[in-house]
Amino acid sequence: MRIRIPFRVSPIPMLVFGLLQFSALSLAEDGISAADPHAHHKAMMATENRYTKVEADYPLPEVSGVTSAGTRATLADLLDGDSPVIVSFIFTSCQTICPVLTAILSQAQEDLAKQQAQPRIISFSIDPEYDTPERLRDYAASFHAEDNWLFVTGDTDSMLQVQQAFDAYRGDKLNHIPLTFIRLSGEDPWIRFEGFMSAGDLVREYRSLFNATEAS
Amino acid sequence: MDVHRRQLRHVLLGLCVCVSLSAAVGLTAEDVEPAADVTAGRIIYQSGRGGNGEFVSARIQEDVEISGEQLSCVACHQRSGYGSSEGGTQIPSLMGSALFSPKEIRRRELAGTVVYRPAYTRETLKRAITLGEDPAGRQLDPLMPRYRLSPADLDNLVSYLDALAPATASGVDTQEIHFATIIDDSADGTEKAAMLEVLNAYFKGKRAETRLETKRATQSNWIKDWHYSAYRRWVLHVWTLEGPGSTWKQQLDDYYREQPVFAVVSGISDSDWQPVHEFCEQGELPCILPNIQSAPDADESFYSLYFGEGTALEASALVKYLEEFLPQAGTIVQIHGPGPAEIEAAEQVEALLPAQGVHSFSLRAETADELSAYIVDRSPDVVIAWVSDDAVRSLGSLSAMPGTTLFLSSTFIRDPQSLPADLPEQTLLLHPFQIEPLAQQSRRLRAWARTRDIELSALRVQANTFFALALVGDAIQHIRSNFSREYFLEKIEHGADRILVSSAYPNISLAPGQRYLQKGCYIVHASEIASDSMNDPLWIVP
Repeated sequence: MRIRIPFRVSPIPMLVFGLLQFSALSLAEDGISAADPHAHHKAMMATENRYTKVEADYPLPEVSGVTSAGTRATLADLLDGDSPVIVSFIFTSCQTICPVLTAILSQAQEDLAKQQAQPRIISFSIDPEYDTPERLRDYAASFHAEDNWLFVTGDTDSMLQVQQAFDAYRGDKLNHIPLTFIRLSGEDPWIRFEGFMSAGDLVREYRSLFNATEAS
Repeated sequence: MDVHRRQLRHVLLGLCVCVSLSAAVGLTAEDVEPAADVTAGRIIYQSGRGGNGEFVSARIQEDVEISGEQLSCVACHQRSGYGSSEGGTQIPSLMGSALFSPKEIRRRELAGTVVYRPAYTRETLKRAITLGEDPAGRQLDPLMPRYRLSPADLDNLVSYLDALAPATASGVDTQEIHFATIIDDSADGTEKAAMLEVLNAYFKGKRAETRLETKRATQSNWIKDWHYSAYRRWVLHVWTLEGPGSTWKQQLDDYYREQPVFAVVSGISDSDWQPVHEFCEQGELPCILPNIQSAPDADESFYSLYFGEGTALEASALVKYLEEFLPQAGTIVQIHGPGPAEIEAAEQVEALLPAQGVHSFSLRAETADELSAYIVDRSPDVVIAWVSDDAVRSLGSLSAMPGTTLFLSSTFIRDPQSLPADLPEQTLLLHPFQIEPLAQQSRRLRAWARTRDIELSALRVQANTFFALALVGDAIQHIRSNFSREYFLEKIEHGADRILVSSAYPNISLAPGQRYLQKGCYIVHASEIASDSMNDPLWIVP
């Protein structure tokens, strides 16, 4: 089979494209990759949509944790039952992803409350030794979390099992990714959102889950 | 003179008066606006508060309201201004040189230029901060907050960013990078020598392994400039401190004046480390993981990193243990040696248990028997002894207290195997160290030491020092040619969890803003430690 090369392909853009691969290194000093030498590769791998959504089943391990209120609770206590629940993973020393995720949840909580929807929100710490109940209380207060939003810590092993159960564990806590989970009840699957949503997105997604079950 | 000319003269006279009056009060056309304040800009950047002292507000992710308390500039773009990386999220550098230049490929090597982003100007940078728009009119990532700032605040912030420059810190020149280690002369001789052997061998090895890299920098292809130009010859300076702590600041100032250093790595002391902590904080000098028994309060400081709080952590863990397992404990007697670490531990226990009333005693050789008799007589529920092996032996008949729980600390008990057999059955060890014998944990160190003929005569100190060097080396590698001390510390915050060698301390971890690696402590039976058998040891995080 003869391979036809279109005449309009000029060598210069190809040369530039090839050299762009090297530019990842040369631009390092200008600050593009000052923070992360792999920035360009990651940026190229990023998708168009700001978040993805999939359905998943996550069997919950039999572990327990300590809430920011200082009470012990099993994972089943926190997450099972008839009512909807939203889950996130945070740590108080996190500077970028967690403040944004928590602010989004805080805004969404407010917006949902205006619509008479008050799902439980559970945020698990992925740095449980540093995140004592006291630290989590302060963190919750700075984001104006309502009473039905619990921040949970515990021993390292238990919190690790929770992360692994939700496929949220990425080794180093500084490697963690933005994740939000919604489940309508203990009988329903989890919906996993990866990426950053707006508060409006989250409210819309939450509402659409309800409508889906009502329609079925 | 006709009327017009007279009027003209009046007008001109008036203008002259106005101009001279203006000059007199300092108002010219140029400074109608007061000069922007870089310091005020730094406050906005670091605290999230505007000039009026209130937190600023912003919008993020299109519709989410946040405040400067939750997301100040420094949270993402860092104190160094170099930006950061978390998971797949990249945060760019805010160096003035980066912002006010276009992002482009080097022109001299190509036929033409590709520009990613035109240079910011003051005005377009203000639009980026408030509207999220780059100089080409494109929207910035929704993650970047669109801040609401007063014109003055915005001016000040932009001036701060303009001034943010990648200045090379002291202690680094084109050929060498200088480090210091700080040695308290009164520390244990064996430990001092053992630590220095590890430090010197590491520096020597670093120089040997990288000596050709600096040569490559002069011969490399432009593509690799950024890589080879980062190499420097590592030089170690030993700063020995003599005499009382009150004289240390002067000695440190003198050492630094003679040879500025980029950072302080490791070190050793049994005295109060506070003078060194203050010297490093005031001098904005990183001070990484000294071998000490009790660390200063680092919650509000930036430049010093410690393995743990030390004996204060042990004291807090002990109190938590009491609350959970011995809530009925009534009489609590505490004994401590004369050193600052022992005293600090005792004070921490007292501070945490005021209602119960802890009876604390300073142990002195001449009163040991008397104290021992007094304790046995009172038969307390709990005895806490911040003392050495020898001191425990000198206390004699502590076993004659069947209902008593005795707490000892591994920081002071160096050889639990040779504790007297006649201690109370419930003798617990506050043990912030590895449970598995460190000799097994430290394989890398042992292999490394063997090839350099280094005897591991003080394994804890040497393992800690080796860890500190691994962490510093990792961070220096990652900052490349950006010799900013703040950036160096930020790399340490991100790198600590990745270090593959073991220090003497288990379960360590770090994150941005944290300054203690270890947050907990084992509490185990002394007899089990002695026998090397341990099943699921109790780990307490206060």
